[in-house]
Amino acid sequence: MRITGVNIYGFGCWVDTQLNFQSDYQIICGNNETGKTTLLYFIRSILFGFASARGQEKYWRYLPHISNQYGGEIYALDATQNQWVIQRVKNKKTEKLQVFKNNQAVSAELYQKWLQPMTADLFAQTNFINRESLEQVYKLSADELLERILALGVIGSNEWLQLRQKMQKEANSLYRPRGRKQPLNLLLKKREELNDNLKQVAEENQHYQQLLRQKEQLKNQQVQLRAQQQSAQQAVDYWLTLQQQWEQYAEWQQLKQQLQSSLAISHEEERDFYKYKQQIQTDQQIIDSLQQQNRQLTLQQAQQLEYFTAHQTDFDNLQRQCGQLQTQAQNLKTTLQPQQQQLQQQQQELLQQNPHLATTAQPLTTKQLQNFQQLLKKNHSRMRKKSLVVVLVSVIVASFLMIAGLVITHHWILPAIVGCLFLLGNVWFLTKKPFHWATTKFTKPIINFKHEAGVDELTNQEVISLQGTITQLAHLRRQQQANQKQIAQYDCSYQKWQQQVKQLLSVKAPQIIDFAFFTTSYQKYQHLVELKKLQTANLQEVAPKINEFKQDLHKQQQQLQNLRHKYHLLTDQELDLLIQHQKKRQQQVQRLAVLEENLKLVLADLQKINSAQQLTQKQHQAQQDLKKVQQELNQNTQQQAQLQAQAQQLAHDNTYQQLVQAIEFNNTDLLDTFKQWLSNTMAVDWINTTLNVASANRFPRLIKQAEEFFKLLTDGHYIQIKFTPNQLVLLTADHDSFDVHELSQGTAAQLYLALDLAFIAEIADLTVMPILIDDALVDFDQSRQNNISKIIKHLAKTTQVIYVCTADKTAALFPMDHVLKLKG
Amino acid sequence: MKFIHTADLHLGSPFKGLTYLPAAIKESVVNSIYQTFDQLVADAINFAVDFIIIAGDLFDNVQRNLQAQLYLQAKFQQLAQKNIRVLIIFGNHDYWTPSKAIITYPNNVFVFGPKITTITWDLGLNQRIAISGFSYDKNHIYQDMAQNFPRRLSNVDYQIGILHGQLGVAQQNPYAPFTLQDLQNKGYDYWALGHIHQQQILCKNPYIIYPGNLQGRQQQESGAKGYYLVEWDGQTTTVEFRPIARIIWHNCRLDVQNVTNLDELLTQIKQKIANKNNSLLTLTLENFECLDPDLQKLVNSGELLASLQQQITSDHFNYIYSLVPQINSRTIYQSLDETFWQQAAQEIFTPDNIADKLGKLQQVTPIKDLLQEEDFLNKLKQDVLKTMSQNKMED
Repeated sequence: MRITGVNIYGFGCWVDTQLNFQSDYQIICGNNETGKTTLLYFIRSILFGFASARGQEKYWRYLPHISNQYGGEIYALDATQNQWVIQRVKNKKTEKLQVFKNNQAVSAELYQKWLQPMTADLFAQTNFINRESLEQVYKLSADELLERILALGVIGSNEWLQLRQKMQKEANSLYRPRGRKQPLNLLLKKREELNDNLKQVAEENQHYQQLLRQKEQLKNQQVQLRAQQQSAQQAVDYWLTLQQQWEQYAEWQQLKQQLQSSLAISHEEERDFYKYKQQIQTDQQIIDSLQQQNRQLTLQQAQQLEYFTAHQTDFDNLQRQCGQLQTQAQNLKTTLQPQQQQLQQQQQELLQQNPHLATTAQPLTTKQLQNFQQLLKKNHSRMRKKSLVVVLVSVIVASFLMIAGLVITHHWILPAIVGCLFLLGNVWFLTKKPFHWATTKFTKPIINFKHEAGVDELTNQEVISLQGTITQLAHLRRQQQANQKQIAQYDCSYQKWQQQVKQLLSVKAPQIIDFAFFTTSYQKYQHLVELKKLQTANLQEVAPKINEFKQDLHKQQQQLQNLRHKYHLLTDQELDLLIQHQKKRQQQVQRLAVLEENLKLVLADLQKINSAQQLTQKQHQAQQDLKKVQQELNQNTQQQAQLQAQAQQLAHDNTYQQLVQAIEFNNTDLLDTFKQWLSNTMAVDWINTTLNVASANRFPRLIKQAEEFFKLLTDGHYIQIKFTPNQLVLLTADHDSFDVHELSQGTAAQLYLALDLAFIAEIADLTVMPILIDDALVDFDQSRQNNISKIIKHLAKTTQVIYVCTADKTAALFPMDHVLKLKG
Repeated sequence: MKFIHTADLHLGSPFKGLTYLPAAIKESVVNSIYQTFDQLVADAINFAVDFIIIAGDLFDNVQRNLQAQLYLQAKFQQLAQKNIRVLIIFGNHDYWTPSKAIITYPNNVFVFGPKITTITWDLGLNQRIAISGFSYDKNHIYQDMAQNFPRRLSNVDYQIGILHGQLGVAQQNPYAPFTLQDLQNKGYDYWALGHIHQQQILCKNPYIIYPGNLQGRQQQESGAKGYYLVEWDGQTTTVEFRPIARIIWHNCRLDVQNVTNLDELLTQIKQKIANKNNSLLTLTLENFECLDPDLQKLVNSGELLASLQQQITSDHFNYIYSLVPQINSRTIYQSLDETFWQQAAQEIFTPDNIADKLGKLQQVTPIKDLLQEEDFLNKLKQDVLKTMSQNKMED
């Protein structure tokens, strides 16, 4: 399409304006606010539709300021020089498009078909170049560029591109090389885990074999241990047996020792012993009985006899005295003692008759009696005088008392009574005690006299009157004393005798020595004497017999002694003991034999043992050993059981099988997912490639063209454009490379322009739409401006270029007939 | 004389191509390899066979899953009680190693070593039998081992060769490649082969047989699986394939062009998958683009499959683990000239381009394996077309 002119009904500042364009290229030059940009938007709006009131587009609506009409006409030629008129107006809400081809109205569809594959969006994107669009270069990627190409390159490609996008999304949702949550990534991870698990579990075979080997070892060990156990048990049994036998052994040992130390005596000797003993006893009995007959005085008797004989005179004297003393004793008993009693009685009687008489009273001689009587007379006269004085004093005192009484009491009776009473008392006193009262001073010689006579208690009268009695008493007393003397004499003789007996018979303390005792003793001695006489007569008859037996006895004893000597025994008792022991010994010997039989098998072993303690120790040690072996055996059994259990567990553990199956499930899942992903990925690739093929590999050509343009625009500074997945890299002639972001703003704009123009040039075979450039090259320097003019002229051969600018010098690069100057 | 010929048990192998198994059937699926072998042992005892030949790949890998080893040990003991011999060679999956981690088998089991060995024994009734074979001692054997087998012994009544290998050219094929001529030349009475999981009879005179694997473990091992029961009456050999696999894999296809509503769709699906065995299925819905868009949505969202899977019961199941809508992708070229697409496809469906796209994903084993699969690029292209079609249809 080449636009030959426009008729603007109303669009922005433009109202009813007609402009003609050169069909190759048209430069429109004007100052700001002259409607240059508006003119470009007018063209775009008429070709593809008015901008809506929404979004960014509202700035491009350019509703007319003055005119009532919104819209206009474009006159254009197609490739075959057909004349097209495109009229688009909008009244209120209704937009109206009318298209005429060679003055013939044609349908909108036909018009659309003519434009195809160009769309409004693509046109805006590629054919409408302004300063903003130049900045798109920073975002431009190969894909985007390619997509633009593909969008144009293949009929219906949009649909495919959408499918491609969908499948790409699907592929990405299944797997991403660095993804984590995508199904295929998850399955891969699970696969690794499962394989790791499997590696561990796969060892089970080795493990099982190892268990079997261990078990085998344990079994061998068990056999050994069993043998050990058996021998240990035997040891225990052996020691136990020894221990059980120890008691017997100890007995055996003891017996052995005893039998060794003790003497054995023959039966004959034993019999002899008893024979001798018997014989000795018999002999002794005979001797005894013979000696009984031939009784001799005992030694004591002999001694007594000897003593008696030696002291016969003394004995005889004492015997005689005994007789005398017995007579005297008889006399005492029968005569003197009753006489004494009688005397005593007479004295008693006398004393009772005269109670004041003391036993000690002595009879007074005649002279003494006369003296006493004189003393009595003197004393009586002195007593009378003293009594008169007392009576007188008493009367005076009585009178005085009576008077005093009267004065005090003024009564006469009471003092009178008192005085009378006093008198009477005195009288009584005088009569009653005149003697006593005078004694102390006057009777002293009498008292002394009486005392000397032993008659203290007797009154003076009684002393005289009782002189007869007193004499009688004294007589009795004298008789009594004479008897007493006789008894004492007897006692003295008796004691003397006793003393002699005691001495002679050597009597000891408790024995009462009396006449009977002595007589008995004496008779005993007499008997001894008699006996002695008898014996002497018998002796000569029995003695030879006794002698005979004694000799036999001696012989037997000799035999016994020999026997004793033989066994080094001192006494018969010892021998007897020995013989008694002989029986026991016999038993011991038998016992020893039994023990030896019992111990036959172990005796030698037992003899190696020192003590029961040692044996216990050994036995204990053996028990310990056995216990240890048993413990080891138990442990072994336990270990075997454990191993068995482990092996069983392994044998029945199907973890491996399960894991293998799980891995297989995972593999299937993984492959399914992978296939899905790969299908999608390959589908994307296939669609791309197909579209690319269909679009005849425009992309490489496009890049090549762009490089040429860019080289021109940069005065040969840059020679290559490279798209990498993430960036756009430019290579300089010096082989330096720059990222698009490292370019200056101007160079970046030149790059975009180069790419865009190359794109338009590339798709020129598909669609030829005018390029509208809005003052985009204003920043270019002169040489670049020159180059762009060359490009525009070059492009114009295939595509119409409508270029609006402000600078005259730019316009000056083009021929005048191609420049339209606008005036404000 | 009777024997069982089986191979490729792959004990300890997982089930492949599944992403999930509902609890109701998981146990029986996962245990099916063992249960199937249980059946084999029971049959061996029932039929009173003289011996069992296992022609390699008893285990899924060289490490030999412990449970699998102990399981076999127990089974072999069971057979020992019935005086049934077991003759084993190891294949490329479970090649012989001097590892100590191998359980010893009872005396009725004979394992051939890496050298070709012939054992002979009397079966009674004056029947003397010889069996030749060898075990792999590495995962690849490029040599033509069959040529090295001894010629038939003259003093035996019946000779069997056991070989784990693949028909092919020496030095080119890594699995003891052999030619039928090799085997036939030896003059044996029977060749018990292993390695190929699809049962097939390569030759009838003498019988050269792949019994296939005993229990399928993935989509590719679909159809009936089992062992060969071989009987020799002193003159002729008769063989019988006995399908005993507990779980059968199926690939079903359903044309949904004329399906108009959900009920119809469900009914047709159920009819299609109905099977008296327990089965694991993939169901491909052909002409999917003809289906009502709402029904398409039900399929694409996985709702339909989920509801079908939910109805599964443990006693008998026909479990669809994958529902594949198949789209006629010609529709995709509508608006663009197909030549552009093909031109582009030639540019992008190249190993280099894919390697660029994958980056480190190439290192992931299953993906690496997938890339090495035959015709991968073509399949990928079909997948991409399908995906694009699907997406385009959704718009």
